[in-house]
Amino acid sequence: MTEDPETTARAAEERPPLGSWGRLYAIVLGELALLVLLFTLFARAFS
Amino acid sequence: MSTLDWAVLVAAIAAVVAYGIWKARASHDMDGFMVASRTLPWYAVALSIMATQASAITFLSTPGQAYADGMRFIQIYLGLPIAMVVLSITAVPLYHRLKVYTAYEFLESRFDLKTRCLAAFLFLVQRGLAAGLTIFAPSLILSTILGWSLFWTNLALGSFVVIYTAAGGSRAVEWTHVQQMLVIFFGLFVAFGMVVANLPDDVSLLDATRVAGSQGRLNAIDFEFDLQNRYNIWSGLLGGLFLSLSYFGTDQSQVQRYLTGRSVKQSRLGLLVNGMAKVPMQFFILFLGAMVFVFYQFTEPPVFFNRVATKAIESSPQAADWRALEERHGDAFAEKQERMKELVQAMRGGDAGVEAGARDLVDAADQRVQEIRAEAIELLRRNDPQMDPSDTNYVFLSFVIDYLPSGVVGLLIVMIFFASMNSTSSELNALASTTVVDIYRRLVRTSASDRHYLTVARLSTVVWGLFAISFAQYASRLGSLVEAVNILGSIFYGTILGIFLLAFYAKGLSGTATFLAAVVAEAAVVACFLGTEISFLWYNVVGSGVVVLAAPLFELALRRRRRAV
Repeated sequence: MTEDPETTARAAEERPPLGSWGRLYAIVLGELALLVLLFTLFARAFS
Repeated sequence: MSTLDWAVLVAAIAAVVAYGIWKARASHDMDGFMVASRTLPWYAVALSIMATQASAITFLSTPGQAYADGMRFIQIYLGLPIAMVVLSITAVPLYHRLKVYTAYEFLESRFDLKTRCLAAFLFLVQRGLAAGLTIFAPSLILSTILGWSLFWTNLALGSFVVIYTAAGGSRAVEWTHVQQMLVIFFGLFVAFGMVVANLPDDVSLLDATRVAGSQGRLNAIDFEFDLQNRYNIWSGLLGGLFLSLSYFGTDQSQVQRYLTGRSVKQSRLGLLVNGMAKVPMQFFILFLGAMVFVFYQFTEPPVFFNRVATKAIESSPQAADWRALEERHGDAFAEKQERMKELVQAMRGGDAGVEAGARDLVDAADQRVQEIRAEAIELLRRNDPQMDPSDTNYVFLSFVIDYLPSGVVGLLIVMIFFASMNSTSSELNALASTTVVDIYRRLVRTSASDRHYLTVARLSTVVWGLFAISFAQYASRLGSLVEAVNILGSIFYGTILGIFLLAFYAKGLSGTATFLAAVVAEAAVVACFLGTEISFLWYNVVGSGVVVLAAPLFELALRRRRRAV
């Protein structure tokens, strides 16, 4: 059985980057934590 | 400005207005005008979301904020990435599934008409006023440079935006955002390069960063919990999260941006990219302001950056007193400059004791400069009691005009113009959409042709443009513009967010209970604003908290009353 091209295209369109949305959300929140750490270290290093 | 600067400015504005009108040709129905027929890719959504939030106020006032107060303002954005994740999970799939034009349409399907209208009304009031501020900010530039009246400058600048927004709606708004943001990013890097290039030859970027740190301008993160403190990590994470949830999840000027995504995935990616880019971008702008601060440690700044105010006193009976203050300021600054050079040498030497001694001498010299500046502001206020004592908004602008070469000045003025046009176009587009979809089509004329509603939407854009221009005439009395916008937003956002939180997560509550709770919450926020010293970021928590807590109580009371009847 083959899926019609429109369904396949829609599935590809909705497929999340990196395999899952959870991973992408973790990257966004991880970046935030890293930035807070870097800002703190930056301020301490130059104060 | 030189002829070259004028040529850059006029060509850039003409090009973007023409591009917007060209893009408008495809907006021939409500779907095209309201949500660009839901066809846009993630990068256009992301740039449009960033463009909407980063108004000219961001580029004018934020560097001045770092100059005067350091980089702690960055903390207001720390809740934003978390909000982007929450909205990607909740709001984006819901809005896409319901195929709404405005966020408030969803409230009627969940609650009732009056709750939808209340949220739409709060949005129209808040955003209508905020649109006035975003027009006012670049008008300030022209009036300061050229001595034009604010009235005519506001009118002229607002008109450019109204032209292509009324013609093309969301499609014109979003595609012009993409072009304008690329120019803005370029302008920011050029500005930073120019600040560093204008530092004294013997002061490196590393030296400048050390000087900024030694003068408390790199204080990005404050971990101490204090409700009175406007910016700390807790108010930033919690208050900033609520502010961002409300702004991006319920403010039509932002919701409309990601409703244009061609799928849930494209809209989500747009939001998440914004979540990753916003904090570093704001850090960069604040760091730029900190470097402008360092520049003015080695080059004498004006006693007061608002040159309209200083020109007024120079031609007043107090002119002699002013000149005497300027001379004292020059002498005190010359001493501070010497102490600052000694501090740089001490920092390079690496001896902590010598460095601490040099820093004390700088602080003492700076204290004298600040005392003279305070006297100067007092004299300016005696000359004009209505004068705004804050000159934060003029710091970056003064640097650009006084020290950057011809052509670059034009580019940076274009950057500020584009930033203003970005935000204003989104705001007018959202105000028109809400007026037509939530008020006119729902309450005034419920069955008319698509063409009729499109015409009303275009007319509504023009009317809101005129309203925003009118409000802009009063904006000069509001102090730091970037704070004024955030305070204004926080007064309304919490309540709207509370309504949406209940709509998303509290299935058993009725529209009447939610409506009553929202009225009580708004009264509580206004009471906090008028009667307490609580930082404005907490208004968002208060507003949404009161709605969420009071609605179940009202629901209980209403059920008891129904049972009694």
